[in-house]
Amino acid sequence: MRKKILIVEDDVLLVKAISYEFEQENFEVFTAGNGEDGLAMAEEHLPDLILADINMPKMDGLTMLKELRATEWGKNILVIMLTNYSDEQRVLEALSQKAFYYLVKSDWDLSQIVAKVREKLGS
Amino acid sequence: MPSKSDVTMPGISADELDKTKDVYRSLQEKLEYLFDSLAREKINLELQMIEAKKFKLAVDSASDNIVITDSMGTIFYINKATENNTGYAFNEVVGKNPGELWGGKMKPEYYAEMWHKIKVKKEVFVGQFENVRKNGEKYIAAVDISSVLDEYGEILFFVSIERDITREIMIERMKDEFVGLASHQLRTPLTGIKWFSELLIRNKYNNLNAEQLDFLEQIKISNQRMVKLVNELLDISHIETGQKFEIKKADFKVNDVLNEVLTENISLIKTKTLNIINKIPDNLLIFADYVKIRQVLSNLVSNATKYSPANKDINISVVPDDGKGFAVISVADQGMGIPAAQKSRLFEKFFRADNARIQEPNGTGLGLYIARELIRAHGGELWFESDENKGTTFIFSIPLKIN
Repeated sequence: MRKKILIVEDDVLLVKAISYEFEQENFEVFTAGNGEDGLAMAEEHLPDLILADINMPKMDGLTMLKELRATEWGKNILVIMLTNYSDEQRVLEALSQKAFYYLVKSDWDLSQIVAKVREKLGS
Repeated sequence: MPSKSDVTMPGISADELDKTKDVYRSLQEKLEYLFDSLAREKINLELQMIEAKKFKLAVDSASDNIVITDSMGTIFYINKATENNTGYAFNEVVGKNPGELWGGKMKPEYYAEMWHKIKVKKEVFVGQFENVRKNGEKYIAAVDISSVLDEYGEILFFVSIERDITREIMIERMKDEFVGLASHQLRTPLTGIKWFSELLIRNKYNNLNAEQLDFLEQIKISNQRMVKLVNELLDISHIETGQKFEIKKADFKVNDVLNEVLTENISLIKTKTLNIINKIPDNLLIFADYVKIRQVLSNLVSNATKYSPANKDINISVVPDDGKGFAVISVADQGMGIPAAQKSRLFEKFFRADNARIQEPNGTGLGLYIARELIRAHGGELWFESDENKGTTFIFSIPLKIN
């Protein structure tokens, strides 16, 4: 069965690139443009893994992560934070909320991100 | 002068007269001497007054705030700059304590530390105060306070020299905020360029010719350079704002990081047919932040490959334990070396050695500065040994895995 991945990112161009890559790599891809929609999508589709940006309108990625962890269905979903920020406080906050990884977008090729996701999913 | 006994006075013997004359003569000599000394003293005093006037003029018109207080901190002198800067006139401050005027806004412990330094230790206090002008405006002052002692070592008075550094500090803060903000905002479009060029390069169904692919590679390389620059600027603004690097330590093999870094540099290594000699044992584990050590090694290895002539060796070796729980890792090239006169400046930010600048015009001069900060954040040290035209070895110490 194809693995389900949810991408929560407000920059339309980046969503286009990353979802294209994951579709090419045979994932089932869902997308959301902010944390609020991200939570709704996550509850509806129960993805195997969520890639989430931090700085987004309506609800930011760290708040989304916190709310996700407070739910029964969402507390064990794998989450990788994917962001522009590299400042330490955010990293620590994300990791304390059990985000499994924290990647600064511009440092990673798409193929490397796919490899990380596969590694985490064991697929 | 009349000679002995050529004058006579009734009732006074010639002898007595002579004695009296001697006494007068000696008195006269003493008076002459005294007069001379007084004249000299007067000239001295006049000179001293001129000196004092010069000093007073200098102090009065100095551009820094100069405040002189007695040993209790009561003001008896302020210069013009202090008047202008604080808004208080000379008459308003004499007899008062700076704490009642522009000062007194810091924590009591800070002042206690200051008093201890100047009054007990009788040393110079150097610090920063956040003060308030008469109009209520805050300002930041860099302050030097020294105690002036008498010949018995007792405090005569305190001299405080203050410089208003509010503007410098504001500019510094704005600069750091700008760098931080600009770098974050730059990352999104940079990521777009990175990812889309990657998709084009890797697309199996594309019909791009070799030249078009080469152009895309160039876009990708330029993009990588900008990503690196943005990362370096962020690191610098991080260091400059006094934030400590958060070190997330874990055990890992040095060779795992090293192999990643060597792969990163593989194209240049191949083009120059460099001989990489890695003597680090495969079981060498260190206890450090993987990402940050990767950044340091990436900097050292890419420098070594960049500045090494073709067909030379790059030696990577280790002293597995320095006896203090640190591994000492070195990366040595056989390149042009660092000019002796520029060695002391190598770790300055934005500094680049002349020969490096000629060979590689595109560097930023930030990599080594950041690398050393990263190693220091681990409790280690980064240094180098270099002979011009023979090569350079960069060496760093890093905590070993704890058993």
